[in-house]
Amino acid sequence: MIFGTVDINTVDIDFSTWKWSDFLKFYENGLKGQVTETPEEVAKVLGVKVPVQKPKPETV
Amino acid sequence: MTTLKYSGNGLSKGFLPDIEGVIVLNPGTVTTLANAKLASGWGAHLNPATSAAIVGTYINLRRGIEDKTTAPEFTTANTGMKEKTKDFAWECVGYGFMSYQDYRTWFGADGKDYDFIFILADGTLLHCFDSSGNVIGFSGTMFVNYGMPKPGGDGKQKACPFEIMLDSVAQMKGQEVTETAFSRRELEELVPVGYKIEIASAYAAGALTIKATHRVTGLPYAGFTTSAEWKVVSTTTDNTAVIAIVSSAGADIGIYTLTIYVTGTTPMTGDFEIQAEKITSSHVVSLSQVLNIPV
Repeated sequence: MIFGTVDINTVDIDFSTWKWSDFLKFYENGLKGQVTETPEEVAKVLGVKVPVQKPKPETV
Repeated sequence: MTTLKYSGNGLSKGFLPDIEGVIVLNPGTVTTLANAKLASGWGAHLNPATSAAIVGTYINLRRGIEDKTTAPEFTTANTGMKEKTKDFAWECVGYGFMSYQDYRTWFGADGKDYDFIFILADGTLLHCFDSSGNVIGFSGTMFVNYGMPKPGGDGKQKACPFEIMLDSVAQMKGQEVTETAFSRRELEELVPVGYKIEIASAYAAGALTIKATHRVTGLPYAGFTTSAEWKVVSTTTDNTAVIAIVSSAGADIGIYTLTIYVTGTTPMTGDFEIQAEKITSSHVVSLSQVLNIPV
């Protein structure tokens, strides 16, 4: 999967089974500074489950 | 070997052209006679769709070839009768028309067994047949010379020697001369173009920076941009290896950053070897040497 000048190997790696924490480490080690997309944006394309952020409780 | 029958003399007394090249094949590689007459038939062995399927290559020997075969043994009986008591299989040394960087990629072939098909100057094949009528090479062993680059003149031309020692006198007696529809140059052009890869920055925490250049000239090569174009050929301690990310932001100057893991985000724990390849129209067109990566 191409992101600019970076190719991520989606043939040998099944990202759909990855935990979010593992993917963040993967992003930090190999993609940070190399791609313009955020971890969430890359994860969405690769099929990594992105954790849903809980809405902040309203303050009265 | 065919039965001896008086077979007449041809009108032409022409010599066979010189041997100017050799197809080196993995032992046991067979080719149909129809395919052996076509360059595309050899393409299936020399530049197939993946580097894993390559089972041979072609070496240009235009820098010369010398016959080194031991002379037949003649023995004289105590009656005075003299007769041939032993033939020896053919041996030669051929001098590769290649750069020393190309030659170094052959160091691992020293003492290995191959099947050899010799190519004459006009593209004609010298080979033998198997029992099914398929074209096969002469079985033998190849040796290379680890010596340092040679001094000038004759030494320079002989800087890339390939000692070829065939196994079987019987195969030599059964040799066939088959004219082909291709020239030596067409055959040589099938062989993937070789590139040099070297470590630009050592492997650390999964990341490795590699520089890819044209051999000898050192011009950068910008073609190895995808993860499919890089292979881990072997590992020493890890059971798996995957090239997870290839960054080609520096490809214009031949620089690639590879992220290589055992699995997940676990870095490799021991030395491994990589090779780069490029596939175009279902043929391997570019190939690097195998590079050891210290860990």
